[in-house]
Amino acid sequence: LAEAQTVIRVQSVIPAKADEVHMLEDFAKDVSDLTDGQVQIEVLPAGAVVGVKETLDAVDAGLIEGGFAWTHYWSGKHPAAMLFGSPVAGAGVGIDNIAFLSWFQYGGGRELYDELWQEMGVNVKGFMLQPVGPEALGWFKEPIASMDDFRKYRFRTPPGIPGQTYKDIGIASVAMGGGDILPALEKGTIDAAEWCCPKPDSVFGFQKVLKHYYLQGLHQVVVNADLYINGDVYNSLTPLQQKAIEVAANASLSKAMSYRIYENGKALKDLTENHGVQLHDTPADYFTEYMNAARASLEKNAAENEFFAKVWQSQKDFAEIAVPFWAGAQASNASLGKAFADSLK
Amino acid sequence: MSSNDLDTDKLDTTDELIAEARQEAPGETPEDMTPWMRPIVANIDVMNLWVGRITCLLLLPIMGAMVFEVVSREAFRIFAVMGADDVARELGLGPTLWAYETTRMFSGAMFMLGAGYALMRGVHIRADFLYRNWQPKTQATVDACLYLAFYFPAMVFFLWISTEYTWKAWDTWERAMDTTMMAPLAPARTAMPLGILFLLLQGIAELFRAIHQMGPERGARFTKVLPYYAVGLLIVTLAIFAPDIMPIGGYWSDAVKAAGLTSLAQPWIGVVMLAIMLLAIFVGFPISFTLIFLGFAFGAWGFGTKLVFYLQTLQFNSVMLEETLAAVPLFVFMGIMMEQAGLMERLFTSVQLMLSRTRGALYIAVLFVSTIFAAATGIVGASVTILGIMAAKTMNRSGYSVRLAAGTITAGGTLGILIPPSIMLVVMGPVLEIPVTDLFAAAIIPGLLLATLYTLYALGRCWFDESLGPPLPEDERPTDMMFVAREFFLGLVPPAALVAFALGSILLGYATPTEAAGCGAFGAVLLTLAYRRLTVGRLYEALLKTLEITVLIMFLVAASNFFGATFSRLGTPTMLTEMLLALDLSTTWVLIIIMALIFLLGWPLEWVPIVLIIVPIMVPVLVELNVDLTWFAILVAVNLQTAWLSPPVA
Ligand code: NA
Ligand code: NA
Repeated sequence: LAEAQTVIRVQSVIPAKADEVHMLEDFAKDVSDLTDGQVQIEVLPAGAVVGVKETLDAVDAGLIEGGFAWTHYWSGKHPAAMLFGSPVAGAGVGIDNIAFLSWFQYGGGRELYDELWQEMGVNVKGFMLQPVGPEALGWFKEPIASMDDFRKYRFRTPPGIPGQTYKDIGIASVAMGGGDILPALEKGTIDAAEWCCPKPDSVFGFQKVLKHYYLQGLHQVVVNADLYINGDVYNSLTPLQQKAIEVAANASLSKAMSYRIYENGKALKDLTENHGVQLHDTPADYFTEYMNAARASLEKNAAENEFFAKVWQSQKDFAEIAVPFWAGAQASNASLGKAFADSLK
Repeated sequence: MSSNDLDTDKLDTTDELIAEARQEAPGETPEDMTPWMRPIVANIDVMNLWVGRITCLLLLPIMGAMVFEVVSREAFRIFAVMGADDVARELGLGPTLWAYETTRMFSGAMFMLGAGYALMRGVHIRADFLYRNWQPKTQATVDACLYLAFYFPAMVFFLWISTEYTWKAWDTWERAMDTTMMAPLAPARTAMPLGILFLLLQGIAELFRAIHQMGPERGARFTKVLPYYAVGLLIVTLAIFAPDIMPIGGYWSDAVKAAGLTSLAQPWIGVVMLAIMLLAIFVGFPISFTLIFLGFAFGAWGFGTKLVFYLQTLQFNSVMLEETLAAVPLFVFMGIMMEQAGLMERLFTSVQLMLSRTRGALYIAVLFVSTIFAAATGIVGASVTILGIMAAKTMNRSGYSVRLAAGTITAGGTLGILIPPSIMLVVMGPVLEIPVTDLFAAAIIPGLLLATLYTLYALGRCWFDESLGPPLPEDERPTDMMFVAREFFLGLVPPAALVAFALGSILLGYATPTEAAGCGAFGAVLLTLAYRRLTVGRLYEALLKTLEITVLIMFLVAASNFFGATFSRLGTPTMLTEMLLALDLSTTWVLIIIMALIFLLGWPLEWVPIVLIIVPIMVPVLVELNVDLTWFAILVAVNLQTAWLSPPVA
């Protein structure tokens, strides 16, 4: 191997077996191939050197060269991180996970993303790698026909604004550590929970305990996993090596999406065919209630934080132009797909 | 604890964990101590005493939050089942988002703030096999040298970095990212630099004590060095953290390079670190600090001083925010309150009387009571002592074998770390990524099995040799069986109810393990109240004792995590995993080797470093070999429980 090899140890916030890590390793191989083996990305499992919550701090300090999480993981450091990692209810302006990529790559999102890390005051270079949404509404003990039914259940909500929005619409939201969720569902300490989407959910094991699965949800329509490289480490790379990472990251955006469609499809098939999981349509009043509450909390955050307002404005400007087209096209896509899916029943 | 002399006066609830708690009252100093040192030592002691007295009160809101959460959430469920969830919401019932945050933040703050108090009390745990054989003068000299060489630099650097880290949280008003509520982090995080400051100050008092203990001559020589030392430490600190004020860092790194120290590959530095740890533990400095010193020295060698303290800060932060670990103080408190209710005496006496005609009745009584109380407390030790005191007298009178008696008492007492609720399993859960609930459920059968085996062993011995455990003398036998039955009932039902309440609430789904710990602790308070044993003084004493044990365990957890993280950062675990897998051994052999290793390490080391340093190294290998981790966890727990009983510890 070449003598000037740079090793970037990337600690992820999820276990080594997760799909995201699989795709991250795929990205690492691309980087290695593109740099003739001179830049090696070595993936460390969650907790290897520092705890999950301290991952970004560790990259910032140079304790590890890189980190891998979802952008909204760092919402506690800056509220605008949520607009990149999981813009609640499609940023309140109908941005789905594909439209998000359009905003990110051509609508000014990437430039704002670079600014985010400066706003946060961390010395990292970020790369958006994997769109992993849309996430499901979640798993329930009993079917729900309306929001009134939903409000009867104790629901373990996701972190941050997406979760707070549930509290705002009167859901009995429970705070609970990740490790407690499954036993809590099993024993009936809580009645419902969400994690991600069919593949990760089935790895998590919800189907062993709950059988009613709702795919359509708004709290994390768009979810993006990204990579942070310590700024000094990144700057020590040659321009060609930096370009290689950028190109591999762009490739990863589409590869990850393609991969997830197939993997989630396989998982969903397995869940419904082999585990007795029943799919339901989400009650219609959910969409209006959640969307209104989400918009309210977006407005509130925009009023409190200038950079948040700036990013959200950019998304709104983009949405005004792109969403009408994309929603129209998606309606046709959805009908197309649904027609085939129904023919399988 | 030595098995041959059951000197009950010296036993303390925490005897298994604490080599020697200090007897001197805080603020008292020896007459012949250097005069200018006396007020310093006295004031620091008194300050940390008050810090401890105030900090221990944090347990009350933790307990309150957990009880409130369970009651409010369950009430909501009941209303919802009746179709009246809107009424419940109207009444403000339902799960809360704040209880979880309060619990983890308060419990994190509790062990950090109490660290200096615990050092003052002398309750940080030591492995003192070498230490205890030295002359007091030698002990003092070794202690003082370690304080100067490692303790003060480590605490000063740690204080610096953790202050920076905390300041940033205040400055940006950073919030938690892993919860819906996203509570602000800065207030609780402030406990970290504060706690380190208290530790640092207490270190000064401890150093002066050691200097006094050296005797006047050596002490005076040591004292002369101190000013030079202080200046030196200041220069080094500035060189590391403020290189623009003190730009001498370059000389140091040149010297390190010249000595050829950078040539050793990082993973191998980790191997050296692990080897030295096994030796260094025996020097007898508190284990937590030894681990911190080693992480510091080898981390600084491998990847730099500033980074190693950053790593320590992040690791401590992580432990402070781990909600599962809030179960530690709660289960400890529950056990202590149960003791205070005096139920153990009652149950023990009644079992002993009921079986008074049987051979080895007292052994059965000891093991029966231990098993019941093991299910009511999270640690070892607590029950050992009380049982020791009660049983030893009667056993002596009845002519029982001292050796078998001591063995039974210790074996019974240590069941507490295996039979749930077990703090060891609480700590092990996150390490193996297994829900604590599952570990608790899995540990019940092996725990009871072990209790049965101990009983059968003791009875078997008595069967063959009656002199080991003769029936009670005639005059000790009960005359009124109704009275015995009543005592048995009153002794058994309350703890059984409490245990069923705490464990049952987990297994039946009313609560998570931490919530159940809170409810159990609260239940124990009620029980003590019901038995008219609750006074403000007793409650306060229990809170202080809880703080001591909590600091002891949690500080060791944080220190072990830091040591393990340094080890990981050096890349040693990856290397060891690859080496182990390359050996191409069968799963059975790998397990036998791992268990033998853990058993051996179980003598000198506490379970905490084993669970947090050794077990994580093994996990990747086990995953690769498809070993069921829940089963492995229970195997480790049984193994450690047994290792505890073997010499030299037991
Ligand atoms: Na989610
Ligand atoms: Na126990």
